[in-house]
Amino acid sequence: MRVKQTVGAGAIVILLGMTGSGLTGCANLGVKPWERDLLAEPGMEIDPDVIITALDEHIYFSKEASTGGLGTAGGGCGCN
Amino acid sequence: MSRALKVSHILLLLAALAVSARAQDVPAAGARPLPASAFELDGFAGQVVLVDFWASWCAPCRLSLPWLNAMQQKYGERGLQVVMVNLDHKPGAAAKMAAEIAPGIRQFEDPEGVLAAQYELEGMPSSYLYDREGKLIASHIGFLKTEREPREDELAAALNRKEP
Repeated sequence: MRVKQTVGAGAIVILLGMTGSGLTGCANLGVKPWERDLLAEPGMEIDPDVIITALDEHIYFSKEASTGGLGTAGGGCGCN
Repeated sequence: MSRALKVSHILLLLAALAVSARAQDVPAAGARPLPASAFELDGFAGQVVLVDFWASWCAPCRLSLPWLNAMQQKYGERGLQVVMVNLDHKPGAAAKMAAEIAPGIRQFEDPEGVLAAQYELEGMPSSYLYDREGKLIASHIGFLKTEREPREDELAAALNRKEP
């Protein structure tokens, strides 16, 4: 009986530990505003060449009679 | 070269070294940026202080540099002290940029983001305006050209405020 109780208590402690780490595990993720230098580089832009994208959009519009959906401007620094 | 001329050259050199050593004791605008650990708000007691966190990779930060320099030039005599804290990981290029665009402003370097973490910055650039008693009276995130006038009005109001 005592062995069963010890195992049960141990399981609860492990469960609480896993739940706690699950809740706080993502708390420190993310890039701080002052750490976005690499994200702000031109190579990180979704649209690396505005002119080529404009041409693609024009061709797409001419063929399909619809436009948009090819990404947005700006890098990832969150300050533009 | 005569001996007297040599001696006078040595004396001049020593005098120049003494002047430069003294200049390092008191951080002046246009001088080499100081480490973030040297930043103390109490060091600007009696002045209206605008602390601006910036980085060379941040476009609005670069946009704000000439404005900040202009504000320092315009209101410096009335007691405004603009302090810029650079957050580049490699601050060499940023220091050069600041020296060219905003030479009249005191510069600090915080490549590890220690001060930035203390201020809990939420965006770039971030600025904090303190009155003459060192009380925080305004803070801003980001910089737009359209903000220049209201921000200047805010500075002027802080400078005009009477001490209690």
